[in-house]
Amino acid sequence: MSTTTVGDLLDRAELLARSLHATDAQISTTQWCSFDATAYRLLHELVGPERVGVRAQILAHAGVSRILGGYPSPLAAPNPQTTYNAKQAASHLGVSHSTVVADIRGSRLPATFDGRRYSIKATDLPTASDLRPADPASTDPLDQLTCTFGLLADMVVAERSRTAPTPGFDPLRDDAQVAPVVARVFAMTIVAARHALAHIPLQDADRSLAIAQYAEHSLDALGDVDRPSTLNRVASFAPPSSPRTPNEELEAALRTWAHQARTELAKTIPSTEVLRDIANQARHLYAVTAGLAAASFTAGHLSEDAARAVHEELHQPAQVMYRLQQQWEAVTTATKPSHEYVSATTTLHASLTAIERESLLPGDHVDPARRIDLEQAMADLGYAATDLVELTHAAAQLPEPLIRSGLLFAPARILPSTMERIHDRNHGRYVPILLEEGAVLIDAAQSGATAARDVRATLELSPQPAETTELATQTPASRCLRQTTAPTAALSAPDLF
Amino acid sequence: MRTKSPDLHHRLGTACRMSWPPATPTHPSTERDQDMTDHPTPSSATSHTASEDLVTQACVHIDAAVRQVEAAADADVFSPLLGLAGLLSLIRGGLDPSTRSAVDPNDPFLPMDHVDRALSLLDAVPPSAGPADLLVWSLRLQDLRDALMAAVMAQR
Repeated sequence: MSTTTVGDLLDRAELLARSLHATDAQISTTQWCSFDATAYRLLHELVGPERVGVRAQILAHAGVSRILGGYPSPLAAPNPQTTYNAKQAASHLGVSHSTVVADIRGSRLPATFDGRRYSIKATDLPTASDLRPADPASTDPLDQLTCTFGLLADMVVAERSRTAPTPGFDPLRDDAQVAPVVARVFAMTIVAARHALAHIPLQDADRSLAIAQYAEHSLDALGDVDRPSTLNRVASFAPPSSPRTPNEELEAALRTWAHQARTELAKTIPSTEVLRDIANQARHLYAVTAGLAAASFTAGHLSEDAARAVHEELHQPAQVMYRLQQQWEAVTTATKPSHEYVSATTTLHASLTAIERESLLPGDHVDPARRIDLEQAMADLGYAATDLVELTHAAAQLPEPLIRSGLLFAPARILPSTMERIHDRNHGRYVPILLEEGAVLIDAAQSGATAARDVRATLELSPQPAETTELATQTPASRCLRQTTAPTAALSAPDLF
Repeated sequence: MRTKSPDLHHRLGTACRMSWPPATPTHPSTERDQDMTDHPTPSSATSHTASEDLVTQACVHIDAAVRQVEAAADADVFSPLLGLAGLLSLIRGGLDPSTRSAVDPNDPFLPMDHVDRALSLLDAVPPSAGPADLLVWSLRLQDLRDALMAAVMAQR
């Protein structure tokens, strides 16, 4: 599977940090500076922008921001779009607040003033001129650690820039979820800085000493954050461009479809055919997930009672999705689906159907080339379940504004008859529906979003490693599903139900 | 069978002449067929109107096939037929998102008949007429036909 999570990268980074103990090779100042700047960039992206709105969140975030603000004179701005206030700029430059204000007033530092505070572009601050990215081909563990931090920062940026966060899953805006990851980054920074102290030219050791001291102080300031973080589940996908196995086909089809569905939902006036199809694909995905779970059960991992429980937990949401697609069928925005979406959904349908027909056959009947890795497939379908939470939530927001804008039409003959509609009914025309006439659709769309969240809750623990602690709130069925992730050597008859 | 189509001109308060009966029926005219052309058409460009009728009739056949395939799923939400019905519906929406068929309890055709008739109608659209992407949708429908055939046979 070509899926990487924040947790995967953190684990890799920790392995690399540990391996620093075993190397005595000298490191250059350039190598250290690359690590220093990348660690700051990662911390900056994890902490993110200031919170607005809820006072408790603002206060909680202020603590983490204060820790980041203490980073000793960052070598470079994390990204060119960053802006600082005068206090942050002073911290960045390693000078006092009054010095920065004096520079601004003396026209030595460009800034704007909004009536409350100064805003200074990161690009206007001096940066270290000899900073270079770490060599990704280097075998030095410090360079590899730097590259891993850089990848983590990129993933955080990508997750934060998503226009439609998944409902119930927005760890980057929850400081309680961010803090454990920040703590791990500080811990690795301490290890790297101590390594640098011992292996860097002595005249440049003061910087690594300052960073080690800062990281130790910050780790203490974060307090007890030794708990799991949902941020670890943020994933990045790189599906194979030329899939060969059923698993690769499934992964590539799922990723392409989810991307195209997001694109369609972002249109000003989305196609109701696409909205209907998203519900239809959700139903199909749940059906295949149930089939895969059944295949695992018949391999002897679960009892029949547990199998039935899982089947029921997926069957009910599938019914909800079917009712939703029937509701979308009755209306139209007169927008056509895009060819790219239709291609993507056709490919996904073909992949899912192939799994049902070829890979879930009883035992020896499966062509070895079409045999599917159940654990991998369940993990991919788990990620798809998260995509569906986002997609169905976005889709559930659409009916009301479309109706209020007079952009959702239905045949006059199926709508309540009014004097104004007699002509339209007689001529078989479509008319814009009224808000009260769309109540059932709105309810169905919201039920679909809720059902998708329920399915994700059922599946979300299944891709996790076996040593992960089970939550007390876990349902019996979800406990069952976790067991399906164990590799299965051979499949037997899947028709439990 | 009856087609109902949105008339956006109507929303804007402009008149729109109805085509009744169909301008160029491509198969035996029946009561259902006449109803299928209950569709607003532009008052000019006769060949364009004719090709629009063909596309509309094809959409009605596809929509009818969708209903029959869904019915064949027999309320089993895990049935593979529902996925195919969804793809058929998407193709219909690509051809014309504003055409639906009404339920016809006396529909004598099977799903494959409807799909074949839709393909014939789309093939009959003159090369210079119809939507610019007509060929693509026609190709998609052709591709889906075999899968539908296999699924319907398996269902039996």
